[in-house]
Amino acid sequence: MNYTRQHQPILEVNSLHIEYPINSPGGFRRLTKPAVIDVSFKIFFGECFAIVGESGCGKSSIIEAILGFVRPKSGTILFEKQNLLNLSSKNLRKLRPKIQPVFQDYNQALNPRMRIGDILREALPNHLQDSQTDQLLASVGLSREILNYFPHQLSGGQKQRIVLARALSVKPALLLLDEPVTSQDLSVAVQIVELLISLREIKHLTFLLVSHNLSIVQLLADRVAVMKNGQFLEQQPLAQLLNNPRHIYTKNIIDQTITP
Amino acid sequence: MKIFPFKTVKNRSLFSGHVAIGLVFLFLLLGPILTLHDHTSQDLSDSLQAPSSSHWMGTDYYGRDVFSRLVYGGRITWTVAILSTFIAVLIGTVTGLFSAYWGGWFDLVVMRLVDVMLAFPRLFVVLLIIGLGASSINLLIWALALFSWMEIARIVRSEVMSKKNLAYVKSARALGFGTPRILFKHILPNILSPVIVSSVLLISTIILVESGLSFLGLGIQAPNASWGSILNDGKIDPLGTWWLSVPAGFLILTTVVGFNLIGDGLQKQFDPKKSL
Repeated sequence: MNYTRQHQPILEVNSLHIEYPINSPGGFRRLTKPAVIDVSFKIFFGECFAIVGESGCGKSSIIEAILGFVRPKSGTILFEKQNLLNLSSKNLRKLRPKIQPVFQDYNQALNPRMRIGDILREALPNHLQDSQTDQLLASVGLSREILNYFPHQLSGGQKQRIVLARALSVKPALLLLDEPVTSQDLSVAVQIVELLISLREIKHLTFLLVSHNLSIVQLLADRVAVMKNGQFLEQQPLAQLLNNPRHIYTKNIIDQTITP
Repeated sequence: MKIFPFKTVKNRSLFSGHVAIGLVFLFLLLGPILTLHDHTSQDLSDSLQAPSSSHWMGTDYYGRDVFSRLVYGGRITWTVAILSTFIAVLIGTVTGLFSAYWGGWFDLVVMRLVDVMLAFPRLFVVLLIIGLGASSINLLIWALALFSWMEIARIVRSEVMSKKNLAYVKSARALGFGTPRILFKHILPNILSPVIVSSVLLISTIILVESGLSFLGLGIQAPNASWGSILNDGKIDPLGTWWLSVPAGFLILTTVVGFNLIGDGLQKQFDPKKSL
């Protein structure tokens, strides 16, 4: 990969603040609850940046905001130097294929009424559909027979591979991995992590990984941010974080991971 | 005692409903082949004849053959019901889909409109529209459709609300697909089951409303017939001229019960948690 490009941020999040409306007693006042408070980070081309934190700490809200599904209260999200929050809906739609999500719940990630072949072909141009479908299946280690199946006929691991293949079909630059292996059993989780490592290398992908599980993060991430109650407690390169945690909460997470 | 003869049929409501509707459909389909009489031609010398070999279901006050009037009247009743339901389902589905997906002020306005329209009693509003306009089949179809779409819109809206935040819909948005594609290819096929069930139930409701209107003389106008207007012909002397009211009432009953059974059966069929 080009050296200068590697040192450019692909995604830059500055002072992100996200709030959700909550029901007030009686419903007369408009109350909000902050989910993400003043979060800033950069992800450079080709790296894997991970956000670690317990459930409900606001990790997934950051992914939702990057995808444009949640409107932040303030802050900027720059993708390849364009502020996603200022883009028109038409321009945002054009840019969306470059950022692809892989969600935790693989059972809900594929349209149950569509065959796998149709799911994979959907985003491909007509003349490339057959050749590219084969390539996509090969890149995630699945065979052609699966094309005629419906999602419910596949195993959890196969579904997550199809989710990855679909994401790759639009040639993304950034993959947002929201707890990608949490719902899988251990052997499948290891296979998916190995697949992600090889895809990152072959396809020159950048990852934003969100997980509550530090052992998965250890296998993939270059830099890690630790999040609690909507705020980043610290962010460091992985080795530094593991050897020299600055925050007691980080130390607890590391201890729990090493001695479960 | 064996109430239901077919042990192998698991979904009995669906099966019975299909048999009932199938029989009425066959009657409407093959009726014109079986009868030699025109349903509008009058013969006053043949007035109010009881069923016989020449008139299988007798004649009415004007000497018109009741069998052929039941066949052609039924065809009109079914056409009105099916077309009104089709229009109502179309309006309800599209409004429900966009209302739930777009949300915000659009959803608020549409749902308040639904509330307002549901506050009007359908039969009386349709009565008013037909009373004010020239009574025609087209007007009847539109009046019934325009006051029947709200339930479907509500059902579709709630279904879309439960689906629009699922990962496969979010993934479709992330792939850059437009709203119509997401709505009609990714969401609609997954919410069809409750829409089909309520559409089938709506057909039977509209048949009842149309029959009620025609019974009151405001639906299908003479010389055309509908089951409701034939029932009306028999109301002066229901026991003496039973061949006017009993067969028309029986056909309305069979059709309404048939569609309701299909609706119930489909509900069970689509619900994996319910045992059949």
